[in-house]
This record gives sequence, structure tokens and C-alpha cells, in this order.
Amino acid sequence: MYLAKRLAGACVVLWAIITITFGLMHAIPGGPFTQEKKLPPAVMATVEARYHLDEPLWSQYVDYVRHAAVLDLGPSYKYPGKTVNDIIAETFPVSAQLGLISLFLAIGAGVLAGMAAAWYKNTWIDYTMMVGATLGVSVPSFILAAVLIQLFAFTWPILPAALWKGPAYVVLPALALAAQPTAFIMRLTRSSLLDALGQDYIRTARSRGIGTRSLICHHALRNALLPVVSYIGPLAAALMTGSFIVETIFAIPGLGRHFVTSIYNRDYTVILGITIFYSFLIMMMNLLIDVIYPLLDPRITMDGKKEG
Amino acid sequence: MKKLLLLLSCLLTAVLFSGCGIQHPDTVSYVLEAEPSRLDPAMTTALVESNVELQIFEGLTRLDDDDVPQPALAESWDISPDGKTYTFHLRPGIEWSDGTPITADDIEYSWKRVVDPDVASENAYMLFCIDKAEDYFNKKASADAVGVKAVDDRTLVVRLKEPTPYFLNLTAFHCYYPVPRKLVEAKPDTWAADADGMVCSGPYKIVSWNHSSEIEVVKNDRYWDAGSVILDHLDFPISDSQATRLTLVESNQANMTVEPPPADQERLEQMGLYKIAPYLGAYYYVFNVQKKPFDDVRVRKAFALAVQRQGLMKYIVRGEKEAAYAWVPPGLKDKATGRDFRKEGGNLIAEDPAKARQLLKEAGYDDQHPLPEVTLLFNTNEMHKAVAEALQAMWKENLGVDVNITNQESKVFMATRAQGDYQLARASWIADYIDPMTFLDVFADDENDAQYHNPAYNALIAKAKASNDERQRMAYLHEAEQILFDDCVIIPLYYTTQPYVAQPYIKGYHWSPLGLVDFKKAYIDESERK
Repeated sequence: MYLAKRLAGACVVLWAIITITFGLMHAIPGGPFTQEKKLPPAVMATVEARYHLDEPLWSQYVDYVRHAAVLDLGPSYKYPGKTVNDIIAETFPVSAQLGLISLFLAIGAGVLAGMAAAWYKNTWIDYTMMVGATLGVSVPSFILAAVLIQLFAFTWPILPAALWKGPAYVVLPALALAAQPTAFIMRLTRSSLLDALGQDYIRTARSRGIGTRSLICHHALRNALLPVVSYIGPLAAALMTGSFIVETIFAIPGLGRHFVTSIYNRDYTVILGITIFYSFLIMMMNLLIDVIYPLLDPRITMDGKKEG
Repeated sequence: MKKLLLLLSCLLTAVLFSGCGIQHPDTVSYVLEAEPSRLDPAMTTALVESNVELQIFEGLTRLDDDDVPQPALAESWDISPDGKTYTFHLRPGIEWSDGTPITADDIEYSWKRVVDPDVASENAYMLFCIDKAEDYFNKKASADAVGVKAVDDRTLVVRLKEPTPYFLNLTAFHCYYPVPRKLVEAKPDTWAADADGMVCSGPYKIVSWNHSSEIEVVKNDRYWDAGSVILDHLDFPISDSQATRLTLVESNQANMTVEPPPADQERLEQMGLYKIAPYLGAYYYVFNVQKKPFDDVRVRKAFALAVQRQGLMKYIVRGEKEAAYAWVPPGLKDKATGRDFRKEGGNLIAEDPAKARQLLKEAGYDDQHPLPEVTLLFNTNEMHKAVAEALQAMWKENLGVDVNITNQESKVFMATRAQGDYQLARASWIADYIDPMTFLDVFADDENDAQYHNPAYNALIAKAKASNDERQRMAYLHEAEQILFDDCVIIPLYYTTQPYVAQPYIKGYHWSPLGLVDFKKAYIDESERK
């Protein structure tokens, strides 16, 4: 029942997203066939008629929604041999692969480092990690990518600088992509762990003579990870759909670059298709997190009510 | 928890070791600047596509190292005395890469497909020189009426609307390449969207296409001139980032690419990697001749005469571009005299700030009567901005006028300019074919960006198109270009060049002034390779 409600809500949200995106993208001047060398008017008219761009907007809109309802996202204008479904099917696995690797890296390294920082609170270890985290959050991925390429493709040429042809090609982009979320997860883990360690139940446990190690791992961590888990939902969706910047710098054939290039190209169907896909993915990830939540904290039920 | 970790590490290993790449040491690897939209020569319009198509397809003619059309799929041709009928004789035994013969019928089908209104190719206008082709495209004639006919398997007769002395140049252009009829009819939109099942006719054939990542072609043994092809492999990695393309070449993952970032020019020159190819194109500012204050030719001339190009070339534009003092760029032959069309025509615009001020005064503008607000429009880009700012300063200094500069995102800009909703705008033009006409007929178009409609100019262009006498034709074209500057429709700034990066051991390729690199005879010189 709960799931059905959530899914129905998702459909309404998706419809609203389609409508707003459709309106916005047609409000920008220029179309898929606008180019530096203007086409003769007769040629332009014929080309637009072929793709039904000459029809009134409302009819294009109705047509689109009708097809989208049965998951047919239409042909791309920029890549006419491909449908939007083809493009997503080709590029999403690449972005998802890279995204998942970065996600595991970020969670693993972030949680461990956060725990260490909390454990050694106010020692040099904690301070070093916090400086690292601040750097990680504030250095943009394209700077980090450039530094990584300079170091590992030129100074010590052990890794390829770009392209996507095998395991070695994953390392640098995964690092560039993981740095920011790692730093964020680390800070989140540290602060919520410290917060949890100050709670009454921990004091009670401590008074019963339980050691710090066991306290953190068995008692505090579970509670402390809740904010991290809720951050991971949207993070997973964002990482898996790829980053325009990282994919461009490393020439990775992923979905991320389409978010930006489709707008430059006025590739209407691709703009809509990937917007729908991304929204859907975010909603599903959030739903997944909401399902996982009660498992971590029995006080939370799926309806979102916190029981006493 | 341990099980989970184990599962994760298994997953990671599986992910990491999926899909390893193979590197061929004897491969020329040219980084493309974008993913081709598809490789259907009839439909595509960008250089990135025609560059790959040039390697895997062939026309009736192919441009040689001097950019002169040479027999390719056609071994010879006869031209009627009025210059309007071409009879092509196809080479015997020519085949597609799957072994089926290439016939005159394929070519008739392919050409008619480009002007088929249902196919709606953006290249259709390139074939409008063929008799009734334009009528067919506009649904005023049937396909049968179009002036291209396969008489037998090896003979093709083409009837032109007007003598088109550069027609053999056009037959080397990508939208004139024959396409494999059976395959195209079976999969009209998708036959050239993947490497699988694709059939080729050129020096190379496509073997793999990893979208947005890499295209791989190998020597096509069924190519009629396979004996001249040296390379076995040719790779096209794809990156739309200028910096990444350069990184790929510098880190030896590739050995050639186009358009390196201007900031790297000096460093690359020192490394011996920076090269410049000729490129038939012009960068200019266009006036909207119907918008105030530029509806007055004196104001247009004042703005044009106040521009000084030398500093602009040296400090801003760079890339060894040549300052432009006319419209048609150097590199095109004046077929009447055999000299360069540009040398023959000379400079058509001067730099004369004093005269510029005087003209502005004559037009009625001075301190008491200031010029109405003037806005220069360009598309968002660092270099365009730098040029615009430099000109803004020149107009301030030389004419004492304040010009606003405004930028718009590319497609917004193109739409604004096409609608004539501007006063002064940046523009550029690249040749479609090797003849001055490709530049001069731009402003004879009914809907040109300048909103310029001069019957005398249009008449000269029409006469040049109808003429079969090169001496007369060139005279008309020179005269037309002079009118363009008497009316001061544009401010030419510079003629383009094509900067590129190539390892010195790559040899034998030819860069045509249309922006295409022909790898047919390319090879790797091992003696120069470390």
C-alpha cells in the first residue's frame, strides 16, 4: 500500500517535470537545426516537417507524453540513427560503472576516515583529516582531475590520461569523482558519531564498562550512520548518471555529458528523456533509502512516523 | 558484513576487468572533436562526420594533394560543349566492402535520395545545380525528372541546370558519395549509426564504433586503389574537450588532433608538434543593412575604416591567421588568369581612421548629434569576446563612439542573427567547395544575414552562374565582390587557418582547405619515431 502510494506520487511528479522541462526548453530560442551556416528556408521547412517540429507546440507535447507513457522517449535529433532509449542504454552503464566505483570508494574511505577522526578527536590525526576533508570539499573536480592527469600520466606515466578502454582507465576519473563525496561523508560521519557518543544510552553503556572500540562499532555507529545513509540516496543517483566535467575531461562515453550537450544541441527529446530518467532514478533511490531506514533504526516506520 | 565486503570486491574486480582495449603500434590515431551524429554521407553536415566519411567512402572524384579532382569511382568523364551535360564512366570492377558491385544505379539512387523531400537532407541544396533537383525537393517535379540517369551499370549521365565549372569538385563532396542502396532501403535511418553491418567504399572500412569513445577503421581490401593504401589501422578516439585532445596526443595515446587550445601554441611550437593547414574561411562582422544607423552606407564605411587589424592578429587572434581586406580568401584560383583570385582582386577595404571620422560627420553625426545606441552581438566564447572588446576600443578611439557588446549562447545567437534582429554581429563562413562562388553567392541569397538585397549584385551572381566561360565568370565575380565593398556590407577581419597537432612521424596525409584530412596515403615513418 505504502509503495503503491509512493509510486503513484512519483508518476505525478514525473508528469510535472516533463511539462515544466518541455515548456522551458521550447522557450529558448534556436532549434536542433539552427547552425552557423543557415539552411535555405525551403530546406529548413522540409527538415522540420520531417521531425514534426512544424506542428503546434501543444500537439508536440501531447504526442510526447503519449509516447513517454509507454517508455518510448523518441528519436534523437542530433543522433538521428539513435533513439533516446538507445542513448541511455549505451551510456548509462558506463556512468553507472564509474559512479558505483566512486560511490563505494567514497563510502568506504569516508566512513572509515570519519570514524578515525572521531576516535582520535582533537589530536593531530583528527586535525589532519579535517584539513583534508575541507580541501576535498572545496577543490573542484576539474582541478583535481588536472592534477591527477599531470601526476599519473606525465610525471609518473603509469596511467592513461583519458579514454575508456579498460580497468586502468577507471582509476583517475574514479578518484576525481570520489574526492568530494568522500570528504563530505567523512565530516558527516565524524560529527554525527561525536553527537551519538554524547547521548545518554552511550553513557549508560560506557558505565557498564564497554570499551571505546566496541562503543563506536556496535552502539554509536549504527545511529550515527543515519544521516550518511540519507545523503547516499541522492549521491548515488548523481554519481551513477555521471558528471559532465569528469566525463568531458577523461573522454568517457557516459550519460553525464548529455545533460549539458543536449541543451547546446537543442536535442529536445534527449533533454526530456534524460531529465525524466534522472528524476526517476532520484525518486527510486530515495524510496530505497526510505525502505532501508527502518532496518537501521527500528523507531522509524516506512510511513515516516517516528514511534516513541 | 564480511560477506558484503567480499561481494563488493568481487563486483569491483568484475567491473574493472570488463572490456580491455587493444592498441595497435602501427596505428595512426586522430582524435575527433565530437561524436559523429552518424556516418550517412547524404545526411551529415559537420566536419567531424565528413572527415570519417572521407576515409570510408568515395565519390566519382577525389581531391588530390593539390585539391584538384581526380578520377575515383569514375575513371573518366565527358563534358558537353555547353558545360551542362556530364557523362561519367565508372571504373570496372568497383565493389562495396561486402563484395557487391558499385553501379551507376547506386549513384543515381544516392543522389536522388539527397534531394528526396521525404528524406529531408540538410545537404539537399548542394545538389540543386542538377537539373530539376530543386523542383523535386520542393515537390514540383517527380524523381524521374531529376537530371541524373544511369544508362547502364557503368555509365551515368548528369544534366545540370547551369554550367557549373566546379561540378567535378562537388562530386568529391560527401553528399555526392554513393550509399549502399539495399542496406539504406532496409534500414533508412540506422544503417550508418553503428559499425555492425555497415558497408563502405573508401580506402578504409569501419570495424568498430564505440559511441562517444572511439571509431576504428581498417584497410579496405576491396577498394579499387587498395595498392596505394599503406596503413592497416586507423583509429579515431573522440573527445569534445580541446584540452583532453591535446593531452591524448602529448601522452602518446593518440598522435594527431585538430585545433589545440590557443594558449598552448608556443609550447607546442617548441616541441615541433604545432602545424597549420590552409583553410578556406573568413571571420567577419556583418552589418544589418536595414537597421539604423547601419542603413546608411557612410556609417557602415566609417565603422569599417576605423578597424585596424595588425595588432588584433598579433595579440588576440594568433594561430597565424591572415588579416582580411576583402571577402574571398586567398587559396582559390582565378581560372581566367591562373593566379590567385585574391591577388587578382587585391584589397577592397582600407584602414583609415581620419576618413572614417569624416564619413561619420557627413552622415550627420557629431558631438551635438551623437550616434544612436549601437550593439555588437556575438556568441559566447573567449576569443570572440576578446576580438569584440578590441574593436569596441578602436571605435571609441578612432570614431569617438561607444559601442555596446552583447553575447548570447550559440544557438540563441544564430537564431537572433538569422531573424535579422541585430545591428552588427560576428559571423564566419567556411567554403563548401573550392570556387570563389561559395563565398560570393552568400549575399545573393534571399535571406542572407545582412538583409542585403542589391539587384545589381544578384544579377552579377546569376550571370556568373549561367556562364560557361571562365574569363567572363571570373570578371562577374570580381565585379560582384567590388559591389559588396562599395556597399560595405561586412567588415572582414581575418582569413582562417586550421591549426592542428601531429607527431612528426605521421606522414602522407593531406589536409584540404575545406577542413578535411585525407588519410588514404598516410603512413608512419619508423625512422623518425623514437
